[in-house]
Amino acid sequence: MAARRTPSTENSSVKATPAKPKKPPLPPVVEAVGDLQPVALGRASDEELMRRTQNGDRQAFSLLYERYNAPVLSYLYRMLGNAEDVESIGQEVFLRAFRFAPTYKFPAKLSTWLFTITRNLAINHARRRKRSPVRNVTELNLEGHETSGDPYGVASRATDQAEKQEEIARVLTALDELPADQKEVIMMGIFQDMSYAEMEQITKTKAVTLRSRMFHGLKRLTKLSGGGEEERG
Amino acid sequence: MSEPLDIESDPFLMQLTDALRAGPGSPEWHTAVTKLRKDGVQGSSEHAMIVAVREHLESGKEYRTVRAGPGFTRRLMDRIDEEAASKHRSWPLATIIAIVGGFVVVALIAALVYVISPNSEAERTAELAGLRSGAFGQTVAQASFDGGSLTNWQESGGEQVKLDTAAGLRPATTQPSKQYMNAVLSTTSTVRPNERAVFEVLVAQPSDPTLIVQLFVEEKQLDASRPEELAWTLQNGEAQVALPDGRFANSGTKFSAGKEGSLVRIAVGPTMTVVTSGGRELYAGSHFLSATNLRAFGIRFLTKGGRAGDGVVLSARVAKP
Repeated sequence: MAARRTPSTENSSVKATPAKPKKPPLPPVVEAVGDLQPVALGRASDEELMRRTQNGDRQAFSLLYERYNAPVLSYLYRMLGNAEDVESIGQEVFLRAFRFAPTYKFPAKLSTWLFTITRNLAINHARRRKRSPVRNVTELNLEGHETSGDPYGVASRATDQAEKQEEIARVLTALDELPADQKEVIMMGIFQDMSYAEMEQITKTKAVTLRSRMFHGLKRLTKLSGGGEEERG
Repeated sequence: MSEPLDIESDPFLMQLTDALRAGPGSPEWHTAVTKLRKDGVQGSSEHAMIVAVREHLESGKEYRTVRAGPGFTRRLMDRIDEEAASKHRSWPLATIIAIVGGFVVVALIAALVYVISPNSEAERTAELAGLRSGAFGQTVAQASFDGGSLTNWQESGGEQVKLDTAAGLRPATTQPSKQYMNAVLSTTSTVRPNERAVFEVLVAQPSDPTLIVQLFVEEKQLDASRPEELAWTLQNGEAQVALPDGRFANSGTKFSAGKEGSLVRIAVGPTMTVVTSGGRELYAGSHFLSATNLRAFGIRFLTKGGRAGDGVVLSARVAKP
C-alpha cells in the first residue's frame, strides 16, 4: 500500500560533509527502540514506528498518522460517501490505534492492523446508520473532498476525451450502487492497492471469495454504468 | 447474488482477478489482457467490458481522495493528549474501587483488632513513657520517718514486730525468732486503678542480712478474694520485682545504697508499671493488677528479730500527676 512519507525527515537523514565530497552512508535503522534518533525515525518502517509507539514515543505515532491519514480517510470516504461521517470515524480510528497500540503484535503488517480497525468502525457505523449532524461543508476538517468527491470533476481531470470522461464518471457514480461486499473489495484492492492476502486478513474472508467479489463487482459496474445495456442493445 | 466463480480450477480466472486487482500497467494486467486479446477465451466479450471498467476505475483513482486538514489533526492530537494524560493521572474505575475496597477491609480489620485488644502496643508504649518521665506533683501520702507523726499511713501486720519511725523506718528490736515475722506500714489513701501514681522510697542498706524489705502496690479488694500485689523486694543485698502472677523479674540484681539510701521508684498506671532501684530499671511492663480495685502502697519488713540496726527506709512518698 502506498503510504505517505515525511519529506522533511527523509531529507534530513543525509547530511553533506564539506571535507568529504562523497555522501556519507545512510545511518542504519537502529533496532533498539531507545537508541533511535529523530533522523532515523523518519526512515523507520511502519511496524518499527508502531513498536516505538508502544514504548510511549509520541513522535513515532505522529509519523504513522502522517503516513496513514490519507489512506484511512479516503477509504472511509469511499465506503461511506459522507465527508462528515469520515471526519468523526476517522478521529476514532486514530484514537483507537493510539489507545490500543499495546495490542499490536510486532512484526505484523501495520496497515493490515490499522485497516482492520478502520473497517470495523465503518461497519459499526453503517449498522447503526448514525449520521453526524449536517454542517456547512466549509467547516469540515478534511482536505480534498470538494474536488475529489465529484465524479465528473475527477473524470475531467483524468482525460480530455469527453466520451471517456462520461464513462469514467458513470463508473465512479455506479460504485455506490454496488453491494457492500463487492464495493469493499474494489475499494480495498483497487483504490487502496491491497493484495488479496491483505484483504483476506482484514475481512476474515477467503481469498477465493474476494477474487469472486472483485470479478462480479466489476461485472456489475459494467451494467450499472451502461456497458451491459449497450451489450444487450 | 452473484454466482460463485470456479477460480481455483480455472487458471485464467486466477490470472484475470490478479490483473483486475493490480490494474493497468502491472505485469499481471499485461499477461491477462494479452492472453485475452490473443487467444480469445470463453466469455471474452464480458471480460473485455470488465477490463474496460477496470481501466476507467484506474483513471478515476483520485475519486474521493481526502486527507486530514490542520483542524482534524489538531483535534485528534488534543484528544490523544487528553487520553495520554488521563492514563497517567488516573487508574481505571474498577482498579480504584478495588483498591479503596481493600483499604476499607484492612482498616476495618485493624479497627476490630484495636477494639478487641485490651491494650494496643501504642497505648502500652505511651503509658510506659508517661510512667518513666511524667511529673507526679500531687502528693497522696508522705513520710520522712524522723520521729514525727505519720498521716495517711497505717501500721498493720503481725503483733510480734512493731515499727520504729524515729530515725528512719525499721522493725523494732525483738527477741530472735526462727520464723520470719512481718511488720507493715501502708497508705490509708488509695489510688483509683485508672490513675497513674508513683511510689518513691529512699532505702538504705540494711545492716541485718536476714532482713527482707518489700515495697508494694496492693489491691484494696472490695470482696474477700485474694489481694494481688506487685512488690519490689530486697533480700541478701539483691533486689527483684515480684509480679502478682507469681513471676519474678530481674532476680539477683545487686542493690547498693549505703546509709544515705538509694531511691526505689514504683510507677503504676492503668495497666503498666515501671520499677527502678539504684538508678536501674528492673522491670517495665504489665503489672497484672486488677483494673477495678483501688490501689494502696506499703512497706513491709520480714525479720527474724534479734539484731538492732539503723533505719532502713529513710523516706516514702506516694504521688499522682
